[in-house]
Amino acid sequence: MLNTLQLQPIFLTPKPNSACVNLASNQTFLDMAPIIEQEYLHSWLTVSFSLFLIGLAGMVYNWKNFLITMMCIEIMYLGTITGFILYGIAFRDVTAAIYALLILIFAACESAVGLGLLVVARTYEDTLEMSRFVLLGG
Amino acid sequence: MLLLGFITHFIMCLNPYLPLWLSPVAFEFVERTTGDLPATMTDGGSTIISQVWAAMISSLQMQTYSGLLAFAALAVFLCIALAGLAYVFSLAASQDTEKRSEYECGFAPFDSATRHPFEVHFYVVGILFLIFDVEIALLFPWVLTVEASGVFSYLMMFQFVYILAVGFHYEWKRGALIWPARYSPSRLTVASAKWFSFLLLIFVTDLPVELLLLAPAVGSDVKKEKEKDTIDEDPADAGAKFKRIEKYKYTPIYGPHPENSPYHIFWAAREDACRPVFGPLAKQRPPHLDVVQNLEQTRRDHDWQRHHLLQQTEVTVFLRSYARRRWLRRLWWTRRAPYNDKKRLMLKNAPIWKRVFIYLALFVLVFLVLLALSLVWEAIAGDFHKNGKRAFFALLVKIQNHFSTTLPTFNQWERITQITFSLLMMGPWFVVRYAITHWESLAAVALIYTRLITFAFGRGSRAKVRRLWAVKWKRDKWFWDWEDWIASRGGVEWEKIPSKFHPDKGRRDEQHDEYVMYTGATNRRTWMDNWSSPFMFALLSVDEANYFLSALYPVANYGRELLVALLPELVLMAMVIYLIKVVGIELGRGRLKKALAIESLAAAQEGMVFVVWLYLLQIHFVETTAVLSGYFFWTSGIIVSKFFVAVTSLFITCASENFVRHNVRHLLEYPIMLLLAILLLLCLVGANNLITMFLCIGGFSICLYVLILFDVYARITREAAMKYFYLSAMSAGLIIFGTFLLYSATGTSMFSDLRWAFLSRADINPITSSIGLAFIILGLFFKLSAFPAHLWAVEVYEGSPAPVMAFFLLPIKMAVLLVFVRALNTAFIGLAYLWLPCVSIACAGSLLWGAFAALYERKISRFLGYASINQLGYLLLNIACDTDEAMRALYIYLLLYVIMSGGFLFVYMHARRKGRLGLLYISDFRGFAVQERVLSWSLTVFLFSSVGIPPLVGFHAKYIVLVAAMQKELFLLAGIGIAVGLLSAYYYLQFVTSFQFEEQNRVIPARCALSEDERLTVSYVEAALWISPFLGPTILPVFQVIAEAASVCAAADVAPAIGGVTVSTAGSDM
Repeated sequence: MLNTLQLQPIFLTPKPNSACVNLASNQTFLDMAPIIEQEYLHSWLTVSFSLFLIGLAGMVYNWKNFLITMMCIEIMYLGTITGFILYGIAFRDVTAAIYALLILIFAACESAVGLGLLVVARTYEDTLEMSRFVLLGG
Repeated sequence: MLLLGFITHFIMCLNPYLPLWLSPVAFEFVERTTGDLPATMTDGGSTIISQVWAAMISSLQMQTYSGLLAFAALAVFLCIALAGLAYVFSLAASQDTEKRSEYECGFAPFDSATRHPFEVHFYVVGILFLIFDVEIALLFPWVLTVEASGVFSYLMMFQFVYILAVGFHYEWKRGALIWPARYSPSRLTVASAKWFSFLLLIFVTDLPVELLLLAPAVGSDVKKEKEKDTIDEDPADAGAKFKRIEKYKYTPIYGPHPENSPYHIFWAAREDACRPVFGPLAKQRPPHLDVVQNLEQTRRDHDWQRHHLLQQTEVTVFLRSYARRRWLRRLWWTRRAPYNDKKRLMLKNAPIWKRVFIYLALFVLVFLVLLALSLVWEAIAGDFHKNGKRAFFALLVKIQNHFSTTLPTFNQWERITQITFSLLMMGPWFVVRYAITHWESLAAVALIYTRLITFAFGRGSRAKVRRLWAVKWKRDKWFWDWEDWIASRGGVEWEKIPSKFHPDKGRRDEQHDEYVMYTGATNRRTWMDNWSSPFMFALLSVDEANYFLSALYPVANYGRELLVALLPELVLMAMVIYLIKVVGIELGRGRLKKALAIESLAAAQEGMVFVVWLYLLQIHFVETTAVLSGYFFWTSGIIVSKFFVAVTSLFITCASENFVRHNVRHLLEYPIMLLLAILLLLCLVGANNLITMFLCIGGFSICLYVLILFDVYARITREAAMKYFYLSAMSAGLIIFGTFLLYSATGTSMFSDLRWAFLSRADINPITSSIGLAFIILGLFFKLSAFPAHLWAVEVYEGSPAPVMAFFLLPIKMAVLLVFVRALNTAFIGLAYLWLPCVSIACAGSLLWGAFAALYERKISRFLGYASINQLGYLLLNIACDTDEAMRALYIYLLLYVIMSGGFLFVYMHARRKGRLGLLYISDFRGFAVQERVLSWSLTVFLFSSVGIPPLVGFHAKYIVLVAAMQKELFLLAGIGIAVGLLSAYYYLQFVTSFQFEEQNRVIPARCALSEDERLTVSYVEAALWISPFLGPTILPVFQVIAEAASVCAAADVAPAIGGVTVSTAGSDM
């Protein structure tokens, strides 16, 4: 077999009491998942890291526009989610997929509240430019 | 298939480098489909193209990738088709005049001042859709794994959908789904659609439980056997079931006296209930004490006479018979019963000394009753109590084993009995058990019960206010007027018209709103009046907790953890959902929003008292374990920390009463969001996993965006919320990406596993792990507002309302710092060489920046912010020392910081409450010493303590911190600490001189008059604060002793991590 799992995670303790106990023991979904080799894993790390950095840099460069900032936040979370899913597949760890889902839900909640904030700002201030919010300070 | 082939071939021909990029996938793909290795790319990739092409064609039948390819093709096709369609339709649309207008969406701009192209409802509905749509992402994995994960996941999902349904109901009642009339297709359609969706949700949420409860009970083996014994029947007989029913059909059940049958009882009750409760036909009409009661009574009589012939259905008759029983009415509708007024007045209108006397007498009585109970209990079951704890847990384990083994056939009654037993018996059991050995906790419990009892008998004197208000009503006579007018025109049958259209509905609500706004009390009774009584509240939140527990009960190992270790959090969560439900229901009934907000805040306060009490109990029997698969940790130190965080949060809950009461808007969500944030903080303190930590931190940040924005009409709050959102989201992203990097390096995110990984010096990628750690520490510095990431803090404190500022300053700082210390000292102890310099730099920076910035600050909120950054520097100094003494000093300093800042904030908010509305600048405190002589002295004591003047505790706190730093030979940091301490003396004493010696130069606008309730609260607070300057030097050392005792406990689970490299096994076996 050409593709064997060459990377063993250093810590992967079995979790007999966790909610996904039956799923982990069943292994059907994990058997279906593709096998990722170590060298490609590093390239995937690069992908998610660059996604994160794109988001972070976008937040810093576009700090004046609240909407673009929120999009950049989503890109940051996207990078993290991608990384968790791929490393979860590589480590054969289902909990990473659950982490990814939790982060997804968290990102959705945060963006929902952020959109509410955006609507409020747009309604009352008639602008989304952060540079025009200068009341605080001094 | 042809189309698919065309598209793939097209894409591959278009980009010659694509095969290279796809090579790993393609290699694997070819190998999987054809069975051998692909040819090498000797001819520039064309061979592999053809091989992949062939493999794709061959694999299109049932191979792994066929579904994926089909989806890809479908997606491409859809994109092209939609683009084409849009193009075609836009050709026609561009001829439209609306399309050519200013906003091409086809609407005239809304709100001409702001010229919005869209109605806000579009956005709101969009956001709602986003929330409810994304939650479905959690349902998909469940659907896929429902066979494997079984009943447990089924129940979990039931809880999830239940919470969603509650949220949906709330949104609906809050008016988020109301669509502007000009766009809605028809009112009827919208209403029926809403009803339909709600019923669907109810159905979805109820169905699993109904099935689970009923199906096993019907199919239970035991019952079948019993039936087989009693009835001999042929199993092959198709009509056996019918026969069995026939057999029981004519069996007399009630013996020789048929009048005892429920049928007769029901009709007797109906006859009884047909007599009027009120009105001229009533036998005894109680004398009324106040006018309003009379008017309302008369009106109710009138209504009742019109109603009672029309509305005598069985249900109403039964309910009326229920309501007629006096003891029940006294239990449920105490405030509504007129003859109870006299009894209440005795307590209400009494002078303060009498009230205090009654309070003390009640305290003594409750104490004696509890003592007697405990003694009796000891006498009866002394043997049981010698190893009572073990016996109790053994019982629990027995119950759980029973459930886990008989899971498919457990029946309803068994389950209900067990849960009721475990929940209802546990509270009294704990009380009695620990009261025997700890008489001081008995006193504390008696104090709490006394408080609860006095609360149950009502707060404040409402009768007096009501009487005053009645005069106004009598003068206005508004509700007599319309009735006479209508009567002169032949009358209208109001009962046939839905109450929604009742003409006096809106008017009455307005009147009440106004009344509530100025008096702070409710005249019309709401459900919350009765529900917020703590007993009912505790019962109902236990009922909510039942939902959660019943879902998790069948899983053996979760039962004890949830019952014992996470009970306070569970109760808090239940309270949140309970409040959402109650507020939703009450909004649906069109009740008073302001009263509802105030009452739900009162309920939140009582609930926090309950939670604090639960932590007090937990301290006695805590074990060192990891719970919930190791995602949370449960040690004595954590429970002590949680207790202090909960007490601080209780303070915040009480302090925000003024904000809710006097706000222009109805802050219905304020208590809910506050409780949710507190819940997440408490979970954060016990987090044992980086993911849990991230979720808790992010969660309370989300709550805080909303909490800051509650004063939405003030411009600065909007700005503060946006700035906080920006930086908080960034820091959350940093924390979670750091977590991911650590996961990618080690394959785990548990604290204990990470600790083992870094200590064992395994082959871990050093770059990834160090970057991850740096990200996490930076994110936590954001939350702590430590040096490199502290600039947001002052601005957000300035912009947020006063109680939210206090929430930032006290509980959040406390909880985040505690989890920060624990994460560094358990998970990352092997990387101490990395984080020690970071913490040292942050410490020095916070000390210097905070002190120098506070020197020139004139606004109180910003001054507080900079002072807290400075104090944080001292806290970080302990972490930089990294010794056992320093850890203990950290806890002592933290608790004393909370007490000192809490006292300062208390006086500040109290001064605002007493009428200094525009108390913004430090100079506004001028003349405070003249007006509030004693209060200003208590403020002085707290400030002196913050400086560190020797007899007070602030000196002790700073002293032990600096001594610990000296012992570790961190002379530079200690020198900075001492120098900065001198500076802080300058700016604190400047503050003191400003309010002690300078005269008032500005008239500060006064607030409206205080209500009766508030005056009572203010008198208590003032009493407490007046005592403090006299007892200050004596009371504050008591806090010191408490803090030291707590720190020994709390540092215990951190301290072993510091010295050696012993591997902790706790949690790793999970």
